[in-house]
Amino acid sequence: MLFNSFDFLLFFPIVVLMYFIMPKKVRYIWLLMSSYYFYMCWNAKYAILIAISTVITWVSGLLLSRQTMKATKYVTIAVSFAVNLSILFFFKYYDFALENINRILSFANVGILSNPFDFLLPVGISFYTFQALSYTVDVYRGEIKAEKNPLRYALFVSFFPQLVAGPIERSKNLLTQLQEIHTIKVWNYDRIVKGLIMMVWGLFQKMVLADRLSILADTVFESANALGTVELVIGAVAFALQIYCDFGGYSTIAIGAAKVMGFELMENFNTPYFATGIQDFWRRWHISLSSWFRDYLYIPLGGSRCSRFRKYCNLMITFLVSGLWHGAAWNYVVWGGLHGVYQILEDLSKPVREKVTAKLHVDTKAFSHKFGQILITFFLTTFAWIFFRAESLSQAGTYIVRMFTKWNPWVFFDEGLLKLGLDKMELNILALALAALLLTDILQYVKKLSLAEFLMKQGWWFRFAVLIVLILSVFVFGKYGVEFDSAQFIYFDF
Amino acid sequence: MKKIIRAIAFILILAVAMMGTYKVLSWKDTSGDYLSSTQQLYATQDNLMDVVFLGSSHVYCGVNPAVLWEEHGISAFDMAVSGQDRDSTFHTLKEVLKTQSPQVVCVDLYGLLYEKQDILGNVYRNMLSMKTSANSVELVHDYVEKEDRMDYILRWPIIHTRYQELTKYDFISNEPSVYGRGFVPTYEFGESYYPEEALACTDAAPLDENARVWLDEFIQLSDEEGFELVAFLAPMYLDGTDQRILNGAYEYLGGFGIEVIDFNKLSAQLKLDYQKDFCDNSHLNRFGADKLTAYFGNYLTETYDLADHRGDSAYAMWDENSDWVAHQDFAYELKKVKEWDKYIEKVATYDEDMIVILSFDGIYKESTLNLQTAADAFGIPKEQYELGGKWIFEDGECVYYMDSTVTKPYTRELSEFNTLWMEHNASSLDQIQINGEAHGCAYNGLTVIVYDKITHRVVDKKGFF
Repeated sequence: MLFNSFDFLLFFPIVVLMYFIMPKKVRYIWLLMSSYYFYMCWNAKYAILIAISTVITWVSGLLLSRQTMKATKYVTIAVSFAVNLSILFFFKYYDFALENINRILSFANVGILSNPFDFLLPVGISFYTFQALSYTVDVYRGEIKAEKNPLRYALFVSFFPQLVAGPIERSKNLLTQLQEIHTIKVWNYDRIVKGLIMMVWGLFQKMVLADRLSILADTVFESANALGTVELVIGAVAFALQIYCDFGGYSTIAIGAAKVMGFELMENFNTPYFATGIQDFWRRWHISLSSWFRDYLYIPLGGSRCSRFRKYCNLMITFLVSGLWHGAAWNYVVWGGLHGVYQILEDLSKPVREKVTAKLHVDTKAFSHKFGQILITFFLTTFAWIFFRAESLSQAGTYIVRMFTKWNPWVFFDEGLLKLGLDKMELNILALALAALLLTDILQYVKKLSLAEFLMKQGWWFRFAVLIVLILSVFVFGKYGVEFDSAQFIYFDF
Repeated sequence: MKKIIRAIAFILILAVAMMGTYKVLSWKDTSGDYLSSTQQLYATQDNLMDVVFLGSSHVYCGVNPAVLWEEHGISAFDMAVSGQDRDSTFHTLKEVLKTQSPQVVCVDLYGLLYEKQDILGNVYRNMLSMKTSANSVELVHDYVEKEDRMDYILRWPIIHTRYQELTKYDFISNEPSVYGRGFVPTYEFGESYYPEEALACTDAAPLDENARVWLDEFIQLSDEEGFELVAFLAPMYLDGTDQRILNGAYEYLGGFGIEVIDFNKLSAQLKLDYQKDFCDNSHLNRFGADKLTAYFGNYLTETYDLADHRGDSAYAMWDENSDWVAHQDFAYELKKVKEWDKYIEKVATYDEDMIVILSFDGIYKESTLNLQTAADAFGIPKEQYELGGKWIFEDGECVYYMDSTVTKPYTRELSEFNTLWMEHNASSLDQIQINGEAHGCAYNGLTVIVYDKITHRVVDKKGFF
């Protein structure tokens, strides 16, 4: 069930209303049932996988809380990781592994292995697996107590707003709230309105912006071989904005939906394209995943409290794994690797950059300096997105070569840009919607206020007007309906 | 309490905004005059229709209710929609019966020859033009595939993309009576052929289950609602396979004593000319429609006791429809005229619900045509003609004269949404505009613009020098 579907438009109010009027004691059971129904709308069979993951991590948590010997704890956590990661590997990476083994075998003239399985990737498997594993580690580290109620724990793993594409919640945050569910004051007008505003804004990002940008990006990437620099740059920028609006939109809806019910999910995006460096970018982009990798991979590997070489190795490992987490293909690995390299170069060049700015008397607090940093960071991340979006490494290669060699400025003047899937009216709508996105991001960046927080501080008439414009924009300019094959949120595939 | 009131106020304002937006975006027959026969049905007072014709383009091209009205005083209506499939025909009739109690319902059997529409626009025409009700939902349920049903029931998923094609007529409403009683006259000529193969075919194919159920539904509804059911087939080119299917239906209906009229078999009696009475090989044009409707008029009056409603003010829509058809005829005749003097004579003598704008510009007096005769035809005094300028005639009367010495532009509201703007500028065809669109036709000579007050459109314009 997609957030931008008619089914969800029915599902969500029913779930929330029932949740509000139910006795406090059974609310979590209702949410658990709703969450499993939500997930089973995609593929009922794959609910078994969540159930397995839930049972294993729940039992591991209980065992870990009772075990005192380090060795047995190790075994428990190792088994939990092994089983969960095996499921993830089998469904997500088996094909990829086999393909690469066959490639190696073909060099040695050995017969290739055939794939006896033909499975679809279970939606959100990477998200709930990581969430469940983080719980095991947190219990192992003694940071939280093991949850004894299996149903409440099952709800933590499967909570429907963030089940299929995050934010990847921590037990310290979400599980604690679920344990205190009876204390949540369900009828809180301001909180409900704030949540609903977030949901509308998220839908606007997805349906008006992301799905419109996807037409542009898809057209350019599909015919990259025939296009020149200008179109290819536009295509890359369109994808950079698409993935931000798509995933950012999903996260905003998820956080808003949880807020309506009285739960606070962690922030997942914080104006990532206003980042002044790559490190800064990763503090703002997919925060729940990058902080997961920081807490459960980078720091356990040694983090930055070691030699510079080791630190860089840790960084590269973290980003390569992060790339692989996003998809079972080499282009994702390259994308991750590129971000690792960016960070190493950023770190290595820091003294040089500082010296140069000091010598040239550059005012590092000036807007122009920051703006320059933002532009460079945007260029670097957008360049990396080419690998992420391309169908293969060779397509990414062709794309980049043409982007730097086929200079064709005339398309600005001969209406060549209108051949990229969007006509003038669609481009105007896109421009207006992007202006709205820019405004809200500036608001977030400068005033540290989300759109919902900002609107809640304004007069009711202004809030009404903005909300009505947003809702009508979604209904009228949103991409949905019979002539549009509504795209899944991009991150459902990860 | 304050917050609850605000929340309710928000929901109400949002509902109003959504309804307003829906009204603009709602499905309209963009290939026609942004008005469907369903809207004409809704605009008709209850219980006025005595005869209803159901079917697709063969009906709205072939049956002219104006003829039935003018000749017999029968209040007939073409409840016809392009590509009206069987389900749509049945549910459309149910929609008609909500407000009307026709004595006779004539159903075109062309729908028996296909299951589903190939043209998506026709599916929309049939599925989206009814008001949302249990009947419209049933229609969607019967016709649309399961996965698309909610889109058709909610309508927003289909109509919201219309923001790309909105025009003036999405924001303003046409008066339904303006566009008649469902008839769409076509003034084109396309060759058709006598359906020899079909008419030679006398055997019948067994009626398939879906077709039988469809016919049963009509028979049952006719019993329940008390109307007489007549089945017919408008003249069209058919092959033997189609005819066998129809013969099967004729036999079945005959078993229930239901009258079936196959107009292909009556082509000689109707004196149909296959070169002149069709706009293509399966649709009658305006002239063929009159022949078919004349037959229907005689048949209906001879067979049923139908009241003559002429002169009854409640039936004003039928009078207006006759006027509208007459205007269509006039426009067609006018465009056909080649000789300039005959053109002027025709425009000058037609004085009902028309606005004529004349403009004598530049060196019009040096024209090889004797333009003075045009001025005379409109009763323009010689001194005005000598001075030149612009004249507006409404229903035959001169209502405004702007002599060529006037330098100020002139503006006149032709209707609520059409504004005429004129100024003297012989070197520009932009000197006469309606809603910003230039209508000047001659730099040095006479421009004639004919504006129809019924359809609110420029019927024709010509320049003479």
